[in-house]
Amino acid sequence: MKLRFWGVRGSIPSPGAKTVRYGGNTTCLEVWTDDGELIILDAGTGIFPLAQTLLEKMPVHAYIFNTHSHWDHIQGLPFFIPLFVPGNRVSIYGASDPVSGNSIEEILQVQLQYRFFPIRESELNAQIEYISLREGESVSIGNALVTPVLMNHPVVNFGYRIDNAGKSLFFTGDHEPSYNIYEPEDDEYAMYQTLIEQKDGSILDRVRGVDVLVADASYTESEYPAKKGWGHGTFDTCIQMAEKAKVSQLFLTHHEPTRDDEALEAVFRESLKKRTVRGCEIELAREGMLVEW
Amino acid sequence: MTVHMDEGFHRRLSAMVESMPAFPESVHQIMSMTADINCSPRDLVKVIESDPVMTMKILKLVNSAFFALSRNVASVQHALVYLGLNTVKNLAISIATVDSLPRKSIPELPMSAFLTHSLATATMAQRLAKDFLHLRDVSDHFVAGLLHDFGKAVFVQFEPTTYARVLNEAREKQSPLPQIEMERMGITCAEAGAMLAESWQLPPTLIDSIRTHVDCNEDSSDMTLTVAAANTVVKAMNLGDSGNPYVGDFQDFMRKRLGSDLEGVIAKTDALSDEVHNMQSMVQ
Repeated sequence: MKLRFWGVRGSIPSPGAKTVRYGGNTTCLEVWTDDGELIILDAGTGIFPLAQTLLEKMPVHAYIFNTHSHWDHIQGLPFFIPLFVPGNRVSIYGASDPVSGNSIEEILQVQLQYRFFPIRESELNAQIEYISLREGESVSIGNALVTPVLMNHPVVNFGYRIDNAGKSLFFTGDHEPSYNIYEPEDDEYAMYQTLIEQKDGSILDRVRGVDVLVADASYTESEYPAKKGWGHGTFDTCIQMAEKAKVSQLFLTHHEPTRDDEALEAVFRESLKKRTVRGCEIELAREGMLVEW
Repeated sequence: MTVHMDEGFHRRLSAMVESMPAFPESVHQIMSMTADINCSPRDLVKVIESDPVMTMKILKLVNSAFFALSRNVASVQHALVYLGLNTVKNLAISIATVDSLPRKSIPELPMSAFLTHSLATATMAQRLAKDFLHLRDVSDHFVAGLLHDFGKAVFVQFEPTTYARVLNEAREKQSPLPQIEMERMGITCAEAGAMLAESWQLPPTLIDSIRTHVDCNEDSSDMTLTVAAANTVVKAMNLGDSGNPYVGDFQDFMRKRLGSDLEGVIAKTDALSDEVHNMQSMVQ
């Protein structure tokens, strides 16, 4: 399996001299399975440079899995060049929206409107299909199995586990561990805690034992209280998840857009000092980084 | 007029519930609370779970095939943990603002009295589960109590004339309401509520308690038992109105399983009516 990071920034593209080492594009991961299928996790602005590398490989069949519909995870989709070229196939997978009832098709349709983009959906020449996924129901991509797992974010967010030829990867998308809405003295506190433990347990079961975990580590512990409920994890929560799930390698991503390279490395070093368990390699995800296993 | 329980009726009923209005004050509360970006999740849950229509619609969505969450989300809190606060908040807003039909009201079962009965049964079922059966997770008993008569709200909304006649006849004859519902409509409100809950893939224990609380027996689940017993307690205490003139008493197996008779439960029931009044003021 091969994984390349094309976008590791959270929320908004953050180009510039101070973010050049880790990169300013928003979320996009390229995965090649052992049997040669192309899976793309999220279509943030990082999908545009990825698309350039696919031109020489066309015709291609790209399987794009969207974790959720927030802007920084869909913004690059209209710039995914293979969409415009006949002979390519693009299969777009993701969750339906429970509030509007709209399917995953909306993430492209909503962007390809006359006022916001010069090309209409009907003018795209690739063969495009949309598949709305249900939580826990795996889909096969060649010999790989992709399983959507409901995480916690202000909109429905699927984490994806990819299993292929004995190798495995889990990408959380955006995820904040659930917290108790009650105070310890409230009657409902224990009941709510049980529900959280069940949910965390079911997520951990899906992450358990993967070779590679890519997780949303937007904030430090000290930043978190002011950002509680925004739907993102911390360095510590990601490291804890990796350790509990006995993951071999953890990549921290969704870097906070105002954090420059030096600050990012500094907070990363600090978080590593607090580790109590060893056994999992931890790195900051970096644009262009290739992981092969 | 007899309503036939065919597939068409079932479909019509299910479609009609989509346009059923939530209670006016809960709509108002949801809109004003959610205008504040820091709205308290606890308060939001409290408003949603005080409104049977809003609760039913949220559980319907969370348990539908749409999500495949192994159909076990039995409380608003559970929905919150699974879908996240913001999604549940926006679901509540969309339910509050959806074009719904004007609320129908019949003097034979005013919705305010129905709401009092539902909230009191919900609170009582939860208390019975906690204090008498000593169960740990009791929030789903609250929901079961809240929704046990959902079929009645549906009948009042969509068959007001027929249902008014049924309620009058039960009152005049002092007969159990389900019996008259069967005779005149061919279906009980318990069955109609259970059918709807079933088609929305609500948790099996919840469906079972809606369907069988009118026929609770020694083999019934804990949830059916708490709802059936709470229903009796609330009627005996004259809290609200379920439209059923028949009050009844605890049966032997109920006394045995709860470890108390009806009077014993009532004696231990402090401030139920105050608690219900507080909840009711939030939605109506």
